[in-house]
Amino acid sequence: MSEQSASGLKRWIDDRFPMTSTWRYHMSEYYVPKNINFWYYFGSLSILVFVILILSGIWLMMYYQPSAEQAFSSVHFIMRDVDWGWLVRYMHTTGASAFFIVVYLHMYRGLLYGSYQKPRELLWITGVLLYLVLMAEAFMGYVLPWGQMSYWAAQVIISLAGAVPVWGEELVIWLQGGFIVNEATLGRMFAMHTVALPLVLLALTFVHIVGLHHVGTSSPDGVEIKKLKDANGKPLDGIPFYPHVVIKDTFAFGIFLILFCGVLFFVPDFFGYFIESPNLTTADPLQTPESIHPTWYFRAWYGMLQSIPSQNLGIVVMLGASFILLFLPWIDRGQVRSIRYRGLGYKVGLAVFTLSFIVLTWSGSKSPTGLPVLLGQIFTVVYFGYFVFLWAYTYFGFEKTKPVPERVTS
Amino acid sequence: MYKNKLAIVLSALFVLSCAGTAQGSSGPGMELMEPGVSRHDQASIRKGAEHFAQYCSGCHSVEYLRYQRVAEDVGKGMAWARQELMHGEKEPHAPILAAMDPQDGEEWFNIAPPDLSLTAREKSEAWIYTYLNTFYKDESAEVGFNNMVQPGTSMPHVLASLQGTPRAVRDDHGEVVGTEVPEGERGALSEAEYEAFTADLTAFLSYASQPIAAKRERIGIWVLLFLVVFTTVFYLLYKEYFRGVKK
Repeated sequence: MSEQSASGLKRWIDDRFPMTSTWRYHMSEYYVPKNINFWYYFGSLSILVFVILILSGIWLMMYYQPSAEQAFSSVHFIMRDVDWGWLVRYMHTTGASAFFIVVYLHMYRGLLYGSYQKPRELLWITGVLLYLVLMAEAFMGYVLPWGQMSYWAAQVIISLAGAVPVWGEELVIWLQGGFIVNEATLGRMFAMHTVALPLVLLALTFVHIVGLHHVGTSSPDGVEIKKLKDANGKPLDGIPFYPHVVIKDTFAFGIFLILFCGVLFFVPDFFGYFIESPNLTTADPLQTPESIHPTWYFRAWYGMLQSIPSQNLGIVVMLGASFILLFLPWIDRGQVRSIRYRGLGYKVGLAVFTLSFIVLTWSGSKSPTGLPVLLGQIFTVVYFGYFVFLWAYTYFGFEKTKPVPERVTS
Repeated sequence: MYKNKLAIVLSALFVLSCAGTAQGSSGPGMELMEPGVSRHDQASIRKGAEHFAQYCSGCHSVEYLRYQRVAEDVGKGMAWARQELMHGEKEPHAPILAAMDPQDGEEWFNIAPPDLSLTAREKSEAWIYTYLNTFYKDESAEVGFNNMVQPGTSMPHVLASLQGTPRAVRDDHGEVVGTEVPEGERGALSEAEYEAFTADLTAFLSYASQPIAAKRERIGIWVLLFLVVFTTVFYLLYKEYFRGVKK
């Protein structure tokens, strides 16, 4: 009886809404290469972190006051007087850094296994757009507690718009709603951070996933599982997303949450990386802090900016460094996707590129003098040099690849 | 092979994060003294709160902390708080505000005495402890004392009646390298007692900077235990589902 009415209801809905077919297309009959490894966890982990941030953000909004007078103290009211407010806020602060960790690793997976190559160019591009919007989202969220670093970071970042020729100065005034960063600036940051950009992120995430399910998940071998199917049309080397990958990902969620909660409950400041001590003083427009550095996840870009003597050039270089990622699918002309079968030059190139990002991150956390600037300049050139090298290496056919197997390896 | 590469990437990130940790401390390159306090030591926090009420709250507020909260967190009732912390009639949930008007402070010391709600997180426990232990007599200073971690400090050495009158110990170049109370000028407390006194004060200020910290850690242990069980169950389920998959 219940079986019958359940299927009856199912049919009733399916006649009016594509419930079962959607479930099949995206879950139970979406096939993923059976040999996906550690690197493939970070896509679903970024969704988990996104959900954590949305939920904790909604609760923070119930108590946070976006006014210059009260923003700082309302954050500490949440930390002390709101029941479990400390937990909600630490979920949000830890989540912000965790988001960048998983997103960076997710993007790195793309580099390792050529997940941006044909036919996944649009998938890669929507991913890079997500990353760019995420950076704006994180920056604006950082301003909201209205501590010293919030205030001066806003000042520095908004002043970058001053580099725009002719209208620069007016643009800065327009953006911050006054001659200096002030309450109007805080209000618009709040609106952008809590409504506008999350909507954009949500929409882009939807497009990213729809795009993914159209072209299929890449494999660590760069082999397309869709090429070999059994009589029923199921890929021979595929496993269904539901239940297999869901269960595997839930296990990964567990490991991630152990690390996440380890930080949240025992070192929520994470040694000054996730919550910076200068930001525990309320914003003071009259007192410039000794040194201004962005949070760890922006420091590679900041390392470029502060190493380049001309500020305008620095801004162009810094923006270019993240926007160049959009063109990666056309810069890399390689015939083979996975690093496992690519030439030695690709492997060395990627290692040097990784090193350049790490050194730039270090450089961006130091004061702009001496060695940090020198290394910042060298590795800015190395960073861009990688893309030039990659294009030349693949376009002129210098790459000696290994044979790619017919089917995925285990 | 791929696991090895992952290990290299992760260890590189770890080294990088350690390399950057050496920032943020203050003072002109001096080494800070560790107070050796624990956020789980309620007795030390309670003593620190009492010391604070007696010696500090005349000028310094802890505006984000309420009397009732302190009483609850150190395991004492409001009767204790009324007797030891609250001078005069106040609501139990009132914030701990200085007796002095900040405006007066600005006139008397050129700077309003800072609120100490977040100082321990902003500057570290070690900074507070070292600050309280490195005052030295300096005739040229307006307040009669100078300090090693905060040279030119505007705060008088209010604990001098307890510590005595410390003098600077200088090296051959005349740089201050330490402080010492000459025999006969010692205050009401011995050296060890003064250190314990300032450690308790540090423990209280550290508590004040995040009152939830001790409870947060106690809850954290249970959360992690739950997650380990949760993850183990899903690991076993994962093994079960993937038994036939990999060949």
